[in-house]
Amino acid sequence: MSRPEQLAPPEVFYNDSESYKYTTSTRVQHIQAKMTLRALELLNLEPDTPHFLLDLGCGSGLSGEILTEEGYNWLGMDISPSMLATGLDRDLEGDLFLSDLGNGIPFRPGTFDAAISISAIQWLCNADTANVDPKRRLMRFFNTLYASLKRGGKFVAQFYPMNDQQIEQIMDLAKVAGFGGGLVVDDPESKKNKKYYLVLTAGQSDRLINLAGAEMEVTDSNKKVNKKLMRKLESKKQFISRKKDVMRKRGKSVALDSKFTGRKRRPLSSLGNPLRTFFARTNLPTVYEPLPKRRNGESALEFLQKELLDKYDRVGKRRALVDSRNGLRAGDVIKVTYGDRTSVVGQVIAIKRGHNNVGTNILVRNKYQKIGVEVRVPLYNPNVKNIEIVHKPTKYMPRNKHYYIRNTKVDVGDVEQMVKQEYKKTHDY
Amino acid sequence: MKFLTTNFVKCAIKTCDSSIDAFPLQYTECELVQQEQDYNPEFIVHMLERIQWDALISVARDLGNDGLPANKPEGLDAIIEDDQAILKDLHTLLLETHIVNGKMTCKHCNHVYHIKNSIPNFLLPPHLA
Repeated sequence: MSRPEQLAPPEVFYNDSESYKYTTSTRVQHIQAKMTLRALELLNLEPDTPHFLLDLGCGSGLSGEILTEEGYNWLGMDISPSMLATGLDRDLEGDLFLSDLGNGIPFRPGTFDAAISISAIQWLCNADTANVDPKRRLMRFFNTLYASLKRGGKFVAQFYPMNDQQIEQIMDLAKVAGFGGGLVVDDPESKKNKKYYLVLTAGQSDRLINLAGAEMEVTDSNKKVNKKLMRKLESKKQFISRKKDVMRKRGKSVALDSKFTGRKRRPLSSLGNPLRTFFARTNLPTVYEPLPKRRNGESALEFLQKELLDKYDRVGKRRALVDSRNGLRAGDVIKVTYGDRTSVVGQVIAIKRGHNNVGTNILVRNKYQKIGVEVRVPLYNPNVKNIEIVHKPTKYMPRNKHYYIRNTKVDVGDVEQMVKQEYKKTHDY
Repeated sequence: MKFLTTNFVKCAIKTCDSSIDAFPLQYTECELVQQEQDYNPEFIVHMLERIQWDALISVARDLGNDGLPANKPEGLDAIIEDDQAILKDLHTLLLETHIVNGKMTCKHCNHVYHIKNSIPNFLLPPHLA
């Protein structure tokens, strides 16, 4: 939220276009009317008797119109000529004065029954030029205002304080000028609709200020929450500011507090950052067309496997070896010859096969000098030249037993030796 | 600016605060206009209490009206028929008479305030503020 007070002095800020915007905005009119009515409610003037009111910072007379409607005679003061010019066009009942509130209220003592001010006195807290002292101006304002009100006259000012010190400063100076009274805060929970009303009386009044419906600012000091619970309840933002306070106390340099403190970072979108868009582009993965799910009417995977089998086992000899009906069985003895003419003889322990699996392999076991040796023979490996069945036992063990024969009494012996003896027996020489 | 206001406005300069000459101001070169307004006898009676009659007479003389009675009419009642005539006259004088253009001079410091488009300019130059 930007504060107009910090942009320019009031007579500069409220130029022709700004005062036109301000006066014609229905939203501003509505808020002004609401605040004026609330100020009148706080003033609590006797009904059905005429009153002469002072409207400080009347601007274009938005609040003045309400005063006329409510049956009050009034006189308005403002520092912005443009605002007053807009007011002249609107045919206001009250007199308008072009005057700087900080220079005092130029009226004879006891002139007014009451005074109101809507969204104006915070302007007095600013030093717009070098030779201006806000404190002196506020002092002059309150002193002359006190004088121009009748005894027991009341002053209600809605204002937008920048911080608590500003409230304190205004209240202190009002007290020094002789005013009694305090601060009414409307809607204290809401950050946006929170409204501060300075409610002052010049001397004793027989009619008190109407405080019905006003909420006092609740001080939490009497509410003692223990430290642990407090830490549990605090928000992330509070946590950060607490830690920063601690670090400040220890004399560490701490990042300045701002409205962004403890806020979540905006999500880093690739939009807007040229460097990020560049990287995002280069990091894109290559995307291929998805493969068709079916080939030749069958599943793509099966088709490709078959294609490979045809490539590596053109005749179907190897496939016949692992045929589940007439192929090898665990217990058979085979001789595998490799491309470099080395060979391995061993008993088949297991066949790892799948449906059309090119990775099918045979596990063969043998014993060389009483040490078990196992070889996995990839069936369709082009390096494997030949696989021949050397020996088929007359009686097979159950297939599942084979896997557990290692280092038992049914373990394979020296297979080569066995084969040789077998050969001798059958050929008898 | 209404004629009524002339009975309240005084010099805005700080040094004139304590001076009795700062009120009423001297009115010169004034241009007057009559503007109708709703008649509100209660308000006139209410304001009459705090009007300084001497000042009113002197300002009226500045503006070229010598016909005001020397003494403040007292004991007026907003409801009684007999008082209506004088109250109406006061209403015309105080509320319906407007100073549109003119000059106001402080008798103490001789500072001149200008009235333009019926708005008096009380902005002070920096050395007087």
